[in-house]
Amino acid sequence: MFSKSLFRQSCKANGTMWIIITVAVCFMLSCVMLISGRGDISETKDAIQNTIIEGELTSALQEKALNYYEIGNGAMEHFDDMFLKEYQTAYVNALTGGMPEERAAGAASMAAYAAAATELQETYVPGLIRELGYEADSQEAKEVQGVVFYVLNPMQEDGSYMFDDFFIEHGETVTHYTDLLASINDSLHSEERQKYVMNACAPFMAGNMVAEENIQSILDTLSDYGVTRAQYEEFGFSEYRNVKDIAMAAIVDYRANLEYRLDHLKEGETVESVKQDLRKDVTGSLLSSLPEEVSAALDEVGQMDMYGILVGSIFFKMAGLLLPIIYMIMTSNALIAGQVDSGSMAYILSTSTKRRTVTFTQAAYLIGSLLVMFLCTAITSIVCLSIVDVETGLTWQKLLLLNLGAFLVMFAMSGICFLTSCWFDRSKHAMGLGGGLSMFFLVATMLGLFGSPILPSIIRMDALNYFNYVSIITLFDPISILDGTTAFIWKFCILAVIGMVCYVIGSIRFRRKDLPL
Amino acid sequence: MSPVIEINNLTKDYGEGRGVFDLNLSIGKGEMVGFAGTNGSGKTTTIRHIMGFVQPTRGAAYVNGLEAWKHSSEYVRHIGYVPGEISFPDLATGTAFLKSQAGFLGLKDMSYADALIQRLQLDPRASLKRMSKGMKQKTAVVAALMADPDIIILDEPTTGLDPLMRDAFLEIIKEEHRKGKTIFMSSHMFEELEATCDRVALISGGRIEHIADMEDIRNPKVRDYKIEFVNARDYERFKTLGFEIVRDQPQYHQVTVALSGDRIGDLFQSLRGMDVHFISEIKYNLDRYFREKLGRSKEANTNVQ
Repeated sequence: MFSKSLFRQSCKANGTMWIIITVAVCFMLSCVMLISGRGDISETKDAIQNTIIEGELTSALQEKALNYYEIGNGAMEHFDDMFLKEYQTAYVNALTGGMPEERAAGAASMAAYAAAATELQETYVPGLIRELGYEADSQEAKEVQGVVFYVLNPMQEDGSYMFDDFFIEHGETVTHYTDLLASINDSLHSEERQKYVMNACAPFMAGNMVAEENIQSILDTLSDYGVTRAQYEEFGFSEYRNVKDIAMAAIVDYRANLEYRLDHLKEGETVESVKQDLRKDVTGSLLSSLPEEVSAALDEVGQMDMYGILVGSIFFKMAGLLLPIIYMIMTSNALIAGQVDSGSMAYILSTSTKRRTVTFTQAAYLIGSLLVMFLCTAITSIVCLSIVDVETGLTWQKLLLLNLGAFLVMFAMSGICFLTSCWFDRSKHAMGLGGGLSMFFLVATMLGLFGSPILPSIIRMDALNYFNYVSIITLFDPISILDGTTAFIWKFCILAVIGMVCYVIGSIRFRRKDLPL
Repeated sequence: MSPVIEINNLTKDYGEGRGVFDLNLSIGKGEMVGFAGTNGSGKTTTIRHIMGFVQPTRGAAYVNGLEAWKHSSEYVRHIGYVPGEISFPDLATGTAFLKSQAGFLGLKDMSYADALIQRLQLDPRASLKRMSKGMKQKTAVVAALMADPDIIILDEPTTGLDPLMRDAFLEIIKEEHRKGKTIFMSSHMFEELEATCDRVALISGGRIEHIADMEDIRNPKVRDYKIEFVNARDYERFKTLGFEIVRDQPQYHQVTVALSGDRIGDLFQSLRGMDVHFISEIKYNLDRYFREKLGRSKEANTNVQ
């Protein structure tokens, strides 16, 4: 069954390549483990987290700005209606009261303003809050109230305006809605009103966001994800001008889009559905909690064992396999098909070495050399792990399992290459099919990585995940090993079975075929 | 005595007329048989069957009574095989290769191998990759013969050897033959088969056309002599004497006569007094032999049609 001479010959023929590849793989492995173990890895994690937080906060701010704008604009529209109605009554009343016409107009205007403002405060806003489903005294209800009244900026009895101080404090030019009421019957009034609302609610929102108690409440939420005040300030969300610019830009975009969409209404679209489209979610508040997806994404990143993933999924499942695969393709070919192709197999078979012995010995060499190769990487990886000081869930037992998995993947793929090597008389056919398949599996795994769940969802490309289903390397599951679950065990068994079946079929085929020697 | 190598109705059909068809050949112990044929005529295919590398479509080859395809591994160690296409395993030097082969054969004593190396003037320390075709051929011959096998199978063993080396090589083969080894050697050169073999089989288009006994060729019953006369008178007179004239060339005053051994005296008797320019025996060789045989069988075929 086993020929020592043949084994020795195979060692001599392929030993040099084996040594070079093994040294190279171990070197790469120690580089990866030692260099990435110096702490840079957690910085990467933080950077990913910060990017997520910054992106999510910005989009939350934009949504909020649109939300404010819609609430403000709706309220002011209602205010206009009320004002016009009250003005008619007040004007007639004043004239009947014997007031001269020029004074009657002014008095009616004053009265209508007061009545409309009162109506807004007492009926419209509470109604809106109910409609949106908030409790009367909740944080959200206060926000709605705030938006409406900061936009209106009501005139007080003494002729001053309630929130002028706020706008002046933030360096804004103050415009008053009373100035717009003179032209209320003008065709351009609605356009003017929208601009007014925009110019009022963006500063309100910015002012609100940079208020100390709100910053504190956001930080409370984010502190779970390791965001400090300094980082938050770096994002720019505590700066009034910055927040206002974000809000303004969002509202301007929204208005332009809305106008365009309303001018080109498609069939089945209503004004409401278009608005709904443009603002994904206008209800809900952001100050009390982060949106669900954001916190989920942050949790995901927070739990990532970057070092384990780097060593397991990136090195042992991909980068570290490349060189062993090259060795395996070349050697599996050289062991059988190459010798049949060149004719040197004749010297072995003419010494009463049975074909069964040839395949058994060559398979033993191929499997053995791969096994020793991964023993070397296992030792290297365990030594490296004991040297580095890094926050990771990796242990030496898990490293052994990772090496075992990489070996089993190579075992299965070497089975395929051995099978093609036994099947074909020509090297090029054996290498083309067996080697081509192996490389395809590796490349598919590389592409599949970008769609696999180990990547945080925001940078994942789901379409690429399909590549994972066409590669047998997927049966090597480093995530399961790192998490300590048992899912990897049955996958290991499949790999072992694939390898064994291929080796057996290859041997049988080689025993039965004609050899051109 | 049962034959050492026996081929029974061996057929291997590769399609499109390629392969070998209904081969029958029997080689006895101590016999040296040549296998002649053009390229692609089926010599190598036949040898592969004997070595058990290929499964026959029909029929079988036997060595020492063992069926080749099933049992070749039991007897191939007694065969010294020099393949037609020399390609060595991926080892560094000739010495490493010979050592490795000795390991396979379980051969401890390398003295015979060293003697062969001496005689073939081979430097086995050279790198296998850098060896010339002739050196490779020599190395292959040493590898085949060093274990002193009972059967020697050589597939075109002299290609790539210079004439001197070919002679040295053929000398070694003859010596093995004298030791009582059974030898089967293929070649497309008739001369070297002629010089060494007991019998020569001619294969063409996958079929054995004829098997020639070299004894008949070396000592033919009828020999041809070519005689050139100085003048036309003697030439004309000789033609009337009743010798069997196989070729007549009047422009040179030449005749070729076929004579059985016992009539050689008559010839000289008749030539007395004639002015003979030269007289020479036309050597009977394998080439001519096969030409005649095949010409005749082709004629027969034409007649049948």
